[in-house]
Amino acid sequence: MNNPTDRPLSTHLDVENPQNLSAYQSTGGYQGFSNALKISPQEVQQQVTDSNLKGRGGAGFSTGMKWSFVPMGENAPEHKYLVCNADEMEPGTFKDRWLMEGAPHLLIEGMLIAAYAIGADVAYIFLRGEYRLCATRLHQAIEEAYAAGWLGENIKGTPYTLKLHLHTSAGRYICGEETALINALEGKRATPRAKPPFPQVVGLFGRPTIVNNCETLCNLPSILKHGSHWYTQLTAGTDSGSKIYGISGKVKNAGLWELPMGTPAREIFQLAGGMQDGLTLRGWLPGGASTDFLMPEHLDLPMEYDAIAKAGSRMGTGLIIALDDQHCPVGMILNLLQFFAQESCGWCTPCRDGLPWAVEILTRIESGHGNQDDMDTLQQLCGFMWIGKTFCALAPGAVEPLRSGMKYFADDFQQHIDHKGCPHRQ
Amino acid sequence: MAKIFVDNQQYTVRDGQNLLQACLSLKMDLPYFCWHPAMGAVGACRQCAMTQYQDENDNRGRLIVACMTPVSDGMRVSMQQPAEQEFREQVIGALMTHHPHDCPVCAEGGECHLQDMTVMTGHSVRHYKGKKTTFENQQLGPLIKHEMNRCITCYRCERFYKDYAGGTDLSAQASKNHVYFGRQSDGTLQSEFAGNLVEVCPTGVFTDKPFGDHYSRKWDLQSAPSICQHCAVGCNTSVSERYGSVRRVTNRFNAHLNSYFLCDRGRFGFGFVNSEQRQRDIYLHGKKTDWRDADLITLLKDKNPWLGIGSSQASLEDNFCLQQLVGPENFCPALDPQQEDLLSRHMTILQQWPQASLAQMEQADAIVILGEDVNNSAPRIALSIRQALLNNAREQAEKLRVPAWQDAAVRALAPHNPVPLAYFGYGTSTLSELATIKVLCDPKHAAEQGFMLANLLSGQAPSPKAHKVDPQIQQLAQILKNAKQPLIITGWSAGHPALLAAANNIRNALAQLKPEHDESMLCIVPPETNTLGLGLLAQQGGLSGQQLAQRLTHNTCNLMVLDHTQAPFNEQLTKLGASANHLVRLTQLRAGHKNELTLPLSTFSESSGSQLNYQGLIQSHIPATKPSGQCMPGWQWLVNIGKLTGHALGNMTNLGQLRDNICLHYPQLVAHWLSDPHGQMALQTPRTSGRTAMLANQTVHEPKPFAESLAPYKQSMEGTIAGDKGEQPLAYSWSPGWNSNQSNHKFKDEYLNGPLTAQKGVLCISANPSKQWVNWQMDWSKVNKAKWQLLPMQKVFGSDSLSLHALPIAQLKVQAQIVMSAAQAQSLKLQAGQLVSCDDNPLLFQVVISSQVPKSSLLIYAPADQYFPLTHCDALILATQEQTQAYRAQLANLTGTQEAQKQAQHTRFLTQDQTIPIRFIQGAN
Repeated sequence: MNNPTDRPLSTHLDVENPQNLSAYQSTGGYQGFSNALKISPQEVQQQVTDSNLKGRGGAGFSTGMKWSFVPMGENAPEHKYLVCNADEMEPGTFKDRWLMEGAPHLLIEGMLIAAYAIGADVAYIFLRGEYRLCATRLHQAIEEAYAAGWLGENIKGTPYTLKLHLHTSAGRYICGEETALINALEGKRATPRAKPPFPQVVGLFGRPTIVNNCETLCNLPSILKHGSHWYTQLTAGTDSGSKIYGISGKVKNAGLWELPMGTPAREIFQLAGGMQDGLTLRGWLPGGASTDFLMPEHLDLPMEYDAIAKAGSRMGTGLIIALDDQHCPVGMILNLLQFFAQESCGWCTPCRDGLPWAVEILTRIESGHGNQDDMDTLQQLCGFMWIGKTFCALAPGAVEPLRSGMKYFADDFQQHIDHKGCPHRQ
Repeated sequence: MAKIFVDNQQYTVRDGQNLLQACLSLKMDLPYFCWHPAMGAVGACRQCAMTQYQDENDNRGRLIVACMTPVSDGMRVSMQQPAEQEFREQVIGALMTHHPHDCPVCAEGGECHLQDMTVMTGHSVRHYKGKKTTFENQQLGPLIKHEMNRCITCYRCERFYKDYAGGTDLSAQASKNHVYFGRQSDGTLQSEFAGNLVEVCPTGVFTDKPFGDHYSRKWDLQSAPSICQHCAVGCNTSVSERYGSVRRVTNRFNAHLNSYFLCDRGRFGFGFVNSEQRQRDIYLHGKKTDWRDADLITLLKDKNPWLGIGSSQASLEDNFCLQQLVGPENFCPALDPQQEDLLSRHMTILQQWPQASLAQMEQADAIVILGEDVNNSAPRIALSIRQALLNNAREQAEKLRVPAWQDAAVRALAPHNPVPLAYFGYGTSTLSELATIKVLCDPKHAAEQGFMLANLLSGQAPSPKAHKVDPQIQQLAQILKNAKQPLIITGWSAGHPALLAAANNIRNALAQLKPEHDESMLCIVPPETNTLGLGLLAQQGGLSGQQLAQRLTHNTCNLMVLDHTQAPFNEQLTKLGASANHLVRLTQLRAGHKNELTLPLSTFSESSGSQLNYQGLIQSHIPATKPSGQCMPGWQWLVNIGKLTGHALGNMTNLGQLRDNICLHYPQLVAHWLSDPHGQMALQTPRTSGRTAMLANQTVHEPKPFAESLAPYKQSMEGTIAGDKGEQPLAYSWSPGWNSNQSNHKFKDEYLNGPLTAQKGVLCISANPSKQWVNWQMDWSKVNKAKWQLLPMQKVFGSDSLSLHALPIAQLKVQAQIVMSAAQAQSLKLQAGQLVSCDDNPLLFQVVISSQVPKSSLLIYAPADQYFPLTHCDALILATQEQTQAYRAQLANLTGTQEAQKQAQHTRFLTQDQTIPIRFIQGAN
């Protein structure tokens, strides 16, 4: 683990005192992008496709494949855009913040590579508004990059030009959905767009646009520096590369670690020192609030997309939320659903009216006013908001902790109804 | 065509459409909210869910929303399986969590799409136990009532108002289950298409305010197919009556013209028929009398020659009868020489070029507007042009394999795929703001540019002796050469015949460019509902205004005048009338002259009549209610006069016979009137038809159903169902299970199937194959030495005189304005908002400052009910303090008066309810 190339994202990451441009360059920064400039955009795309890098925003879609839909060549539209999705609002997820606070140039270099690969001439960082420190540091880094000629016209004497803008979001979880993000960036209401047309073809301001997650982009410099083969070897499982994992909840030492992709969840718990004294693990959400609960028996699963999916959940952002035995699962689910109901954009019916309905029922159950009918209605609502029924993935994601919670913590729900109140509060 | 399987039944449907549209066309009851046939699909409400299967072996399938799914050959879907049925019921259940159950007091009740869809999905038990979300409502002006609690968040209102109609002051605000559709703050909705929100909203969030003040259920209304009377487009409407008064006008679907939308002048302008200003009785020399009055008979039998002035506001039948009665040689179509000139030129062009329908205009891929303010003269045309501006984006979408009905996608593509729109003219409007080429000029210059453009397109076009060619004109010529369906629009509103001539030459030139595939379009906008009907009759020759004045000078001629409500005409008539031996005026609205015989005319809502729209398309309206007082249609008065005087016209016994007579002169009309109802016509929905006990509190004798006197049809008591009568116009839109106007969404194909509809109706003026160039020598010399050139301006709410007698429109009336550039204002030391008068004319104008005023010109707007001669203006005189105060006081007073009138009308309606004498409900005789 001590070989620096094993942890391409975090080796030089320093949240207290992030590397400035010269420090970043002295540790090999902008080499990846310099390598990219020497080859054609198509070759960069090929390298990234070969590296099997999957999007780190939660969906796990192949980055190279995503780029391949962008029109290239002479007939491509005049402007193309790259957008970094740094609107990190998933509850329990704070990896992008860590990257941007601790290694802002890594993101800028990653964006340069991606923008070059798709032929974008303008790039935006769509940053969560509350990430003030990220904004300050990114601003500084962007200025440095412009001054040093890494951004702007004719970068490093090549014909390639890129303008990079930092946009701080006005808020809303839905802005993490790429098409809603595009609408928000255009100054419109942040509601998702129908696909097709996909943003790769008709995106920001009607032009081809790639929206990549911040962590995804941060992986690019090392792929271009060390090659895609090297990147595929970093993993402990089947998916390529390293991943920033983390954990929150009542563990001894909540935090973030860059680990090989596919590290078993148990190892992450061990790194966190296990549960706090006197508490036992009851369940865990593998990658943010919008993933299904997994149980302690799932701890040996490798944290990678397919394995977690097989167990009935999603790896999502890879940041675990642990639920202990002293906290009420119903209360936790209610808390999460309140967040999602609040954050629904209001576009489609199941999400807009279904989530507040679920909140209404959960509130009553939690406060001891629920009955058996409510459980049936909740179950129906889970189906009502499931994949394929809504316009985007917000509501299905929101339903995941609810439907799995109702399965794994059925007794807790029943106790609430039978004893007319929350057993954890008595 | 595509073969699809729905619930294992095979159907053949048009490809390219979405599954929802296909299912509706197959008459299936698939509920939906956010989709609208004119506004495309956005997939917001999820109500139209179905299940799609991969093949015949797939029995699980996956849920889809039909509106977002294109039909494809061999596609297998189901609509009646439990999975999708349950989901559809859940959607309604979720939508209903916050809907107040206030249907009894909702003006939408009984014709509410939400009610229909709720019944259709089978949702009946409420599972939601929480509190409802509530909102504050806004005051949105005199036309629209706002009740946000009823909102089911389908986004249609916002999509219509902002995206479709270009309004800026209504939007979706807030988020989650608190989305609010309204303005930033209370205030009158600014768009002239706001009234469509009433029909676009699937429930009662936006309701018709004048109707809602005293609402009636749809099934209690007696409706008739009608034609709008407030501009030359001739939008198809349904006019609805209850207890003897007209209650509302709604859209009547016509695929070639208005499709699903009306402008607010058309929707709310009908109020004049209920107005206190109506002439309801015969007046002879200022005294109320009746038809048996001996003096009246003597007057009408006067042996001196009778001269007649026709009216572009009256029906073809009325004008024809007057022309027959006085003789074509004594018939004068227009008083104003400029109007005469415009009319004859317009008719000549119509004989050469067919005019584009609104549906055709929506296909345009390049548009030139030559000096016509369509936004204000014919708003519905402006709305169609707006839709054409998306055509290149639609084409681009298809290239990306995105269907053109994917509304959001098309709009995302629109900024980079604009349809070129060239605007030559002055003033600002929503269209001029969208222009890609904009030339600020007066009508003469606009016409000159037009002639130059024609000359650039075809060397054969006469070139104007003039100025150098603007590079923008070069560019425009290139655009038009490349366009497949360019559209040229001009009209009468700037009052300059050269504009018509220039448009004609451009059209000729475009035809020469593509002799094989000429799909270019022309549209000339006349001012009134039946301007072209009058033009048709005027082709028989007749008197010019000047000749008429000469004939009258010796006090030996009598004058008979058909309905005119425009102030400039009445001003002229006052002068002429003084020299007439006898003056007979047939009028709908009180004119108040003492030295004449006034015969009260029934309105469009009280009698049948036909009119020619801007295309020369003949359309007829049918009454919904009996004429009030002694009112009769103009043709009946004239036939009766014919009877008195022994004129052949007196032999007409009914409308059918009269129309046959008209057809002898104009055989092309036969087809139209044959298709018009001759047998049975249902004016009430099947629910009410045959209900004869409604007045049992007055008498047990069943009243006869309403029937128009001397009409060629009778009222049927059977009711009609949307889509099932083919060619016959529908009085209302209804089909089983579909009580709202959305019932016609299912029948679009049927509406297009009739032979007449398919050929877009009967055009009365057929195009002649020989195309003439107009050689126009522009007269650049100044007509008078006036300081400024005065250019006329129009307003939706103000330039049409009839609608100004409708209360809600009167409340929106724009007061007289003079628009000048900032530089002019500065040199005159005037500020915006100040009041000025012109020379010795007492009319006070408000000063408006705009950058869109041509050099040394003033834009003048005078409301249709106020007289201002647009001849000269040498001095603008700032109003004195007293004048300003009096003006403001008058306006403030007016608001009070209007409110009082509204209350009085409301009281009158209430007293009429249930206690109205039966003779009022029954037809005449």
